[in-house]
Amino acid sequence: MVDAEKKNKHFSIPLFCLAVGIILLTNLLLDPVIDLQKPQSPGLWPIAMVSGLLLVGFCMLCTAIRTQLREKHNLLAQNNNKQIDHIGVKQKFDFSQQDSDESDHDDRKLFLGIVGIIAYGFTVHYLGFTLATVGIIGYWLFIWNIKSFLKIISTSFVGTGLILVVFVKIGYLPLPKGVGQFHDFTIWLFRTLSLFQQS
Amino acid sequence: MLLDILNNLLGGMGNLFQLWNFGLLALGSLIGITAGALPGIAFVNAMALALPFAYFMSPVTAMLFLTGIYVGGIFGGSISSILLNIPGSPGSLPATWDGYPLTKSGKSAKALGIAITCSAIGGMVSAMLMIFFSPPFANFALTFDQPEFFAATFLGLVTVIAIAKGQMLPALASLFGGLVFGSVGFDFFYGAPRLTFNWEVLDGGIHFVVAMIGMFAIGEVLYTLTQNLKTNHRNLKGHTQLPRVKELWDLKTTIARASGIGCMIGVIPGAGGIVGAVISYGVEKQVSKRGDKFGTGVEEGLAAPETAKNATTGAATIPMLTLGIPGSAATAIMMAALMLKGVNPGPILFVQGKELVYTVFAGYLVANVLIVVFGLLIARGFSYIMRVPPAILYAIIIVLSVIGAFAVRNNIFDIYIALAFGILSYFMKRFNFPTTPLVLGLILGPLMERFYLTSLASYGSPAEFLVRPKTAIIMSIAGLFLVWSLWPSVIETIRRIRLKEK
Repeated sequence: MVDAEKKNKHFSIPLFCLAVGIILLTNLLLDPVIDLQKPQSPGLWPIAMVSGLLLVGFCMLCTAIRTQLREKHNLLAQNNNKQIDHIGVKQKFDFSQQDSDESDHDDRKLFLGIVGIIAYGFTVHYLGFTLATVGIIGYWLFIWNIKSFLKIISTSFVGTGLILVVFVKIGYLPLPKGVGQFHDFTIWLFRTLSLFQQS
Repeated sequence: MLLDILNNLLGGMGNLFQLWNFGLLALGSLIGITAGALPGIAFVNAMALALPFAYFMSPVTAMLFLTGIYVGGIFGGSISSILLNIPGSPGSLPATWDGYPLTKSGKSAKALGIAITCSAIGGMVSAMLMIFFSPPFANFALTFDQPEFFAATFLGLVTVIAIAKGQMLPALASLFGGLVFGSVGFDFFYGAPRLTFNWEVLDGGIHFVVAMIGMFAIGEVLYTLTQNLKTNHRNLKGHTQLPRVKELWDLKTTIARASGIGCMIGVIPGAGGIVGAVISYGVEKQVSKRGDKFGTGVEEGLAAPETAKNATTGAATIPMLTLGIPGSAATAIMMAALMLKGVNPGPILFVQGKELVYTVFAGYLVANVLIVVFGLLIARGFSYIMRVPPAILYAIIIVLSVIGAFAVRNNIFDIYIALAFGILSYFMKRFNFPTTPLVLGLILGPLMERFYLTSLASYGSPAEFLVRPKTAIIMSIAGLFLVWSLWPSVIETIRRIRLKEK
């Protein structure tokens, strides 16, 4: 990982915490429903918690700045060919310690995974659980490098079928059926498979 | 009281050995050991995924099912630690230090035998502690009022932070994140929506079960996907040779010490199996005559962490059952299952739900016996288990997670929340942020707020938290934990200043 990326990571998490904290605190303070004059005000607890988050974010930022200054100092010392005392250089809160682990991550797969999961979340509502599940199982097998079309299709359908039997027929769980024509399709499918009797 | 406990325990045993109850405990144990043994799937993930199935079960059966997964899973990780040098779960890390060297020297059967037996013994000791310690503690907790419960919840949160010594700031950020998430939705007193951004779907708040499913199941799947995990080990030999009585007798002091350490560590919220196992290994290394040879395949070096790891299970359940305060992700899931079934854990449960409590106690005892039976079986079939394509496994996990999240309130929005928490959990794991404090913050935050507000309403002043004797004692313990966790940093700063001066 290049130095610039390392530095970004040092600062991005504390800054993220601070940004989220400021947005939430502003939301709470501007909310007319949250009347801080009331005894046991509804805003008291969340404000305290968000303030805690802000404080931690600030401490993390200070630690990151200190770590970077130390690194700079050590780099200068190294350039001057001086003996460096490493005691105290590494901070306990030092993201660079995880950098070796970082490089093991496949970001392309991460992107595909997140896209798949988000798409599944949305299609469950519109297409219904059955069609969306067939899709996600197939998609997941595909991004996991299973190239056999037969394997993908058979696993998707058999897997979805088993899940439907367990949760709809045995568990009576009202899983999302989709909207419009997809809803009608799900009802038809459930009736055809004798998964339930009533619509 | 002792006779009462034994009498109730007999009743619990009777309940446990009903076909359905025992069958699900055994199934849970089998699933737990398998999930634990598979690198990339921790037993906590398996427990989170078991939640949707809990809807079909009675509270007793659901708890037995989860107990089986918990007790079995915490042991299961040792199989892959010993055979592959890959810890199946974090708590099994120390098993690689002396377990794998034993395998390399051709003694894998012996190593597996020691791990199975010691885990079972440690778990039994812990279960006994839970059985005999929980009822008097619950009796004591019946005298608690709102301020005492607030203090106990506060102690739980503080210990979570204290345990994360080297990662104090990330753990605090994670905890406050959880506390903030926990305060989303209607407030307890006035019913005013908070942090909802005028989004009605958030009025009901973020249900901790939904968040837990996202974090422990979906997040884990994403993490494994990006890791390119290779799990093809077709030539593994998982034969097991249980230790003889004489061999066990030689390990008696190790087992006794490790059981004690495991039980003590287990009670501390946030500590869990990994801390118990590592501390026990360290202590054993110091006191053992063969301490200098640890790491080369010494039996004591394997027996100690294995015993301690399972000895945390029963002990960790005590605060959850007696106070309704979960100290770990696993016990949080068990509490979630109880709450989903309309049962509130806490001291009252020991009065109104004796049948459930003692059946769970009996379940812990029997689950540790089942470890021996299923441990032998799964270790033998381990090479076959490793052949299950992870793609299929993880696709099913995502689908089950979605079902689990939806089933909590039959709300499609909970699916989105679970998915969002899954993605959040992935990044937290990637940047080495502990996820357990977030979950505990999410669970304990609303409880703490409620105890705080009702205490204020009843007694008027926050000073009440310090003047009531029990509350003051609990708060002092929390303070001690904080000092203990900050102490190394203070020492290091002083040392650094002195070095600079020189």
